[in-house]
Amino acid sequence: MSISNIFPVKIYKIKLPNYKEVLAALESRLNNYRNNFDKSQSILNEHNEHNQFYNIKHNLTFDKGVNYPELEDTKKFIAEHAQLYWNELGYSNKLMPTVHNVLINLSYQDSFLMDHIHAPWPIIASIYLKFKDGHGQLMFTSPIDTLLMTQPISDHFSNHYHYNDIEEGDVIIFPGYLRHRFNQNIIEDERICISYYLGSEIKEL
Amino acid sequence: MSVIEIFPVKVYKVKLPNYRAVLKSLEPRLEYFRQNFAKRTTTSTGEDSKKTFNNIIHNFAFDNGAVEDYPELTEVVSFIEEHSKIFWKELQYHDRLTPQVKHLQLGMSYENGYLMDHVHVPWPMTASLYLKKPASSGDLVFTNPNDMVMMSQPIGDNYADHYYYNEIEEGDLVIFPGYIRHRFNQNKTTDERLCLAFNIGCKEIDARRPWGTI
Repeated sequence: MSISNIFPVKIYKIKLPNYKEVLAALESRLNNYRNNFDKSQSILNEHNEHNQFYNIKHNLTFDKGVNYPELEDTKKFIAEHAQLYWNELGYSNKLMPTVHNVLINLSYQDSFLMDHIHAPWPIIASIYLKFKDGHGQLMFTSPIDTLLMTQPISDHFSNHYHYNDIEEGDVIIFPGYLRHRFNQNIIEDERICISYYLGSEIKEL
Repeated sequence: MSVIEIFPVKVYKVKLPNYRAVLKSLEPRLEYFRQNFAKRTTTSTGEDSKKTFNNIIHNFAFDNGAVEDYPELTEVVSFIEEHSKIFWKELQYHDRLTPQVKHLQLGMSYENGYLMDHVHVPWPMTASLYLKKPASSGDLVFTNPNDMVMMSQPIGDNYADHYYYNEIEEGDLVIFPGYIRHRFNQNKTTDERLCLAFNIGCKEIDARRPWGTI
């Protein structure tokens, strides 16, 4: 008797060796955001609810950093490993993945980010510069979860979700179509994650 | 660096020890079907082709509907139910429901016969038993349930991750979720391929509830 696991979704994981230096290099810029970010802000919709996609009421901020010189080396690191991942996924060898956009995310207590995808970007890479237990897990959802819910599963949803074991400095690279969320940050501590959006360019032949 | 594989679809495979004896016990029935059904109809051209699901020129499948009508398969059904319980558990399906063979289909395929993409839902599981499987008589190919999303990716012309070709030998029993799209590729031999498909539901099924009285 044997059980085969077919059609898996592949995720790439690697440690950024100098992540502490990257964080230190960003510190003055991050301080600027911390000082100017109004943590009491609340965006309400017509139902008087705060944003249901991300809990901005409880402190979550973004910044675009694609042109930050202190992130240039990380962009090269990401592009190098994204190429290996690209090959692993069997994506076209006439194209090469390139970083098009960079998003810096600072998350505070009670913040979360609901299910979303990054398509049509083919690949996303996330670096966890500050991360500890309680910060909220990065959780992937099976792309066929609706189909699985039609099966006689009772209350077993463990095959529907994948909880990533993350440590500081980890880089997770995953397909842009893969639905994911950040669970709630339940501690009084800042989480910092930088996301790289990778598109592709035609290779010179 | 590591590549982690998540959200796989699980497929169960086991060998039926006495498959030759099972084939022998079915032989009078098979001969009847050969004489009465094989090559009788064609749906590849003409008006009937519009409703063609499978090319039954040399490939026909009949559905007897009830396992009770096949007393010679009683032990096979028990074997399948025993293994489907293990697979059921592996899939983390409901522990208060018991998988049970409800229905069978017998497929005999001849030269050029094939069966196009299909699923067996709402049956949660299907078991395919290969009693006659000559080499090159057509692979059982699963299609990735995420294939439409994957086709939106920059894959070029590489579809390798979209399909899974099962390596099958005579006597193999393959159990898979009923929602997995699959096909039988063309039988490129002049020999007969014989496959029995058992659709598996739940013993406790209740018309008021989709999965039974739980």
